[in-house]
Amino acid sequence: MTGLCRQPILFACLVAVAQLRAKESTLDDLLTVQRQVQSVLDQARKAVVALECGGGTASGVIVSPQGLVLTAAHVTSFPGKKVKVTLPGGKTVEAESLGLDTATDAAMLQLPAPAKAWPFITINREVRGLKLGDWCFALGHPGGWDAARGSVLRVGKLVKISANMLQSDCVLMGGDSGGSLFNLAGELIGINSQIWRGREQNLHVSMAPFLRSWETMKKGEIVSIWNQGNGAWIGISTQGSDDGLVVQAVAPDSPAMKAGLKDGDTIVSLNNQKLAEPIEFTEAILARAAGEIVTLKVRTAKGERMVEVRLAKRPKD
Amino acid sequence: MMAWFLGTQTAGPIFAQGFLDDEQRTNGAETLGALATLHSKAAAGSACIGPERDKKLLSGAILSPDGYILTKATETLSMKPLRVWLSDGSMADARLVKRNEKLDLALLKIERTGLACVSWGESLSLRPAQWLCALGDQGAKMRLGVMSANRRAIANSGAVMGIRFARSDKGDVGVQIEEVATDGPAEQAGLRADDVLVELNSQKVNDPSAVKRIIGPLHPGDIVKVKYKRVGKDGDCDVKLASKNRVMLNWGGEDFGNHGTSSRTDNYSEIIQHDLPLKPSDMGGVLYDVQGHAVAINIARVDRVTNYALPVELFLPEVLKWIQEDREKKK
Repeated sequence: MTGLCRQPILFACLVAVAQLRAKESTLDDLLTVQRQVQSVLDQARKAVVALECGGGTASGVIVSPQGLVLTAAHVTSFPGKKVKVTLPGGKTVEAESLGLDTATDAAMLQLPAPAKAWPFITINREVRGLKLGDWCFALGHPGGWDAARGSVLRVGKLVKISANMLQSDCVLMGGDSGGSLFNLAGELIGINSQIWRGREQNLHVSMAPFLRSWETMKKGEIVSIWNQGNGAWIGISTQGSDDGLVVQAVAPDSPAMKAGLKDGDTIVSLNNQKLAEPIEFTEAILARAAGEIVTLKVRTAKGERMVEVRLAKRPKD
Repeated sequence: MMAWFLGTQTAGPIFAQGFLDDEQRTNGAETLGALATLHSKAAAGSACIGPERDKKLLSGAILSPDGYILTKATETLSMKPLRVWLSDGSMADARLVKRNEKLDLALLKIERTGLACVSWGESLSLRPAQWLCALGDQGAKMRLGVMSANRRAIANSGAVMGIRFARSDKGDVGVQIEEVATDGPAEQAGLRADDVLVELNSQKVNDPSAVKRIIGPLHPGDIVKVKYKRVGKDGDCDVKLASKNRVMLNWGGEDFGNHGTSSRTDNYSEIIQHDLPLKPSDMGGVLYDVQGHAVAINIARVDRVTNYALPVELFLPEVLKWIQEDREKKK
């Protein structure tokens, strides 16, 4: 995995998965989606801003007439930082970073007081109303601010829904971090967070972490969820293959190293569950608590063996 | 539906995951079902261009029943032999009629009759969020996306090899490479850090400014013949230059490749930007709206989220003139 930022921590919880009926879309279905996106696009683009913070470029979205901006935590890193904001017209203003939730990658900024009111978009508060396969669209500033280009649109579908995270096939890249994911009503449903190698592995922070910690973040405080018992760490990165996940790198002093895992080992299963993609492995680990023991089936040149690993907390750095 | 239920062994809560079926995704079979009729029509009017059957480097648009074909110019610079592969599987040797640097277009001619050809529409009414589609994977698939940003010009950033040089003491022979850009022109040609460049296009180089003087006037797609020294073995290679912006923005491989990018990605007087999942070998092919109107030619795969296409109004009148001139010459 290559993150645009740190990995989001997922609350363990149940997400209902509806069995979707296979149905071919028609041209009319596609054109309906196009009309819906076009009817809200201008409004949405007015609220999407480009950010410069600590040498990097990123995006954000204005969610109140007073100038509250939502972005990703890996963009701001700390409360009280000065952030250069480029508005859609090209004007720049200085904002200050507010609180953040590094575990889920959620953060806020405050723009200066508006002359009248900042253009803003509405948040979708019905996080549980989202369904797999829902059409959505992403906006951001991939590669940084470009006056002639403006913000860049991607239209796609929700590919996965987790407690704090959405995955879509709206393709993102560096600079999109902190940008926005909308439903077809033009309401904000996600903040662009990170990508994996695959084109369809684009992750967005859902509105849940924002809504849960809204006032705390607005006050400029750092949200901590470590005490809720999730966000365990094993200390390896993996790559998908036909037979399992191949270990690419083992972090020094990590639980994986203590358990004897090595580069090139293949992880066949975790607690007897087969894993097809690195993202599933990462999330299965993140969903567990530090201290929990997981059993990996590992294949090496010498054959298969079962390895018990006691998960730990991710070190500070 | 693939669903993973990962129950924890302790009394922890259940974590469930479900992914949307591949078929139902934006570029999945069920969504693309809406474009089935357009797919067969588009395939008939398209061609692939490359020196060999398993080395098709570009797509092309068939402009006339007697075999005038339009494609991207940059990749044709070093292509030998120039061959066209039609959708019926047959091959035809092509004659280069015209190569236009400004538009980055090349007009080819093959000796055929009765070919299906592209019927052009207009692009001026296109707005962001409009669905667009094109053939991908050598015509095997339709690919769907949207017009994703404002129509505009793309400035020229120049051409580079994707090399950072070490500081060298005066009097050294050659110029030592400090670092090469991931997946950049130099790395693709086989050069790596610590190699020492000795000659470029038969001219000796002893410092980085000499390299700049030779590369400066060249264009993306041009080939530079490089002689280098490497511990244990000296060698030579051909480096195909690429646009500076595309190399610098992707220096460490930030784009994840996603099947690569075009050598030339800038210096266009007007483009339509879209987000179709295309490859560099799909460039030169036609961009359609979902009603089947040909609106542009795909001209550059820029990065994971960006393609540029030349709007039909920009090139078609000029290209038709080239065809006219060529026909008159033949008479």
